[in-house]
Amino acid sequence: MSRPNPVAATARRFTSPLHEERTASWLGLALGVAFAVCFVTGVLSHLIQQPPGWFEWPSRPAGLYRVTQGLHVATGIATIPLLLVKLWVVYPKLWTWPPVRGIAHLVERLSLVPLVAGSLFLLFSGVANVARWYPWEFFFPAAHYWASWITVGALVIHIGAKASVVRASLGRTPREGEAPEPATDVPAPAGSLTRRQLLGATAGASLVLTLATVGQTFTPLGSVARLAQRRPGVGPQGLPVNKTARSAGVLDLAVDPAYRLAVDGQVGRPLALSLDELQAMPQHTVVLPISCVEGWSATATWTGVRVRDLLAEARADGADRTVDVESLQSQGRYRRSQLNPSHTADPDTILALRIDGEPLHIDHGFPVRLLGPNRPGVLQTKWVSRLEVH
Amino acid sequence: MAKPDPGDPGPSGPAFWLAVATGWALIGYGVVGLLRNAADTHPLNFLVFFVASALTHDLVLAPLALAVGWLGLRRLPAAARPAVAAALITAGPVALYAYPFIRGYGHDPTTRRSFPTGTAGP
Repeated sequence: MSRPNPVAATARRFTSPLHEERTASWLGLALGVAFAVCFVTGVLSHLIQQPPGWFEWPSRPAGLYRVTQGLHVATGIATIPLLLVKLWVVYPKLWTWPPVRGIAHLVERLSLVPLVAGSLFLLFSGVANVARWYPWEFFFPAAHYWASWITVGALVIHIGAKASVVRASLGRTPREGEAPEPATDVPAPAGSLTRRQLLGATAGASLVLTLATVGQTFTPLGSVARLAQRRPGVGPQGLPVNKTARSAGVLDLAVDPAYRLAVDGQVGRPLALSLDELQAMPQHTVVLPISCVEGWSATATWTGVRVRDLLAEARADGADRTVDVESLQSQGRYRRSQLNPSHTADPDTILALRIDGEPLHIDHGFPVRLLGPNRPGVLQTKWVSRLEVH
Repeated sequence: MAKPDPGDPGPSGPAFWLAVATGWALIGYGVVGLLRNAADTHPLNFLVFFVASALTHDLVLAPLALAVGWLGLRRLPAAARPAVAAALITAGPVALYAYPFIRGYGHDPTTRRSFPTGTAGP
């Protein structure tokens, strides 16, 4: 008498009728849409922050990055219940016996390793980044970005393997000789959820997480954003802060009377301007958001000197120049950002000296902060000390 | 579920193999990108977290969820089980999301945050 197969025995324990194709198909469709949104908006954010030669992110519309990155984070958060419930639904397949039924099945199952690991990694690392928690050695944006290509590649294979199953199980195009499956609910044993109840509860969980966080960028829902770590209105001068002057190590440099803003590089007349001299220049007021890559955003009224006016003062040849903007910070990946010609020439790209009429709080970049339309928050460089014109 | 699902004949056909070729090209692009940017991506450390993400789910979270279903819900009156299950489906992901914030992981005490409340800095 042969010994019972422990894997097959384990698989027999999954008795819920909800471990079935139709439930998996609905969740898979929702996940496919969510991953597509996250992938497109994520690649866009990567291109904006590390632009290749062929890509120039425009300065208009001014709030576009706020929308795309807010959508990226909100969609990622809403995906958490979808993914967890989808994995619960298909979990018995992990214990399928025999594990492989042929070459195609082997290829399909191998692709599930990067798909499952990648999906979970992207959500875990994304949430950790929102919490600014980095329990790893790698640079989050780089690892998150390259993991997204791996995951999406595995997703393409999964779609290729399952498209016909999804079509058939959702009753749109039944297989040859097969009657279309009626769109009825799965019969539930007493005390169990029906398919509709499971899908409804999953959608409800996504809705709860969305309502509890999306107010970090969608201000009408700010009052219910109870799980948002950054919310408009909470922070010095009513604006959230990610990096303070203390953690950036610029507490003394920022208030040093010897502070000068250098404008140099390919200019006819290099400048070294004191804060008083900057304040004496023509001032321009803009209403623009800080749009953080972590999904929060908040609008304020900023006043300062137009970058293109500074370039004209320094006799740079034309306003459509590439400009490197440097911070007083001695280290850190974001101590320098770049203005492409579109951003340099934009009349609303300024070196801000004031917020809502008051001098900048030191945590908002006193004495001088770069502020421009349609830019990620990490590229709105604080404590600016130098513009290098190319 | 141990037997092949009769509703799933398994992948086949040119569309599947085209998806395999496209998918592995994208996966290859991601892996090459990871390796070529090793100074930023720390491939070995990345691999640890990548694999741990799947193992933590498959060996801890999923069995835990199933155990709740097998052991916990069965002790409840049948009439109460669907409502409790639905509540857990919401509470579980919300708790997972909120956990690092509540524990204060990554919190810079010099900044103010709005969640959890009552822990604001200057």
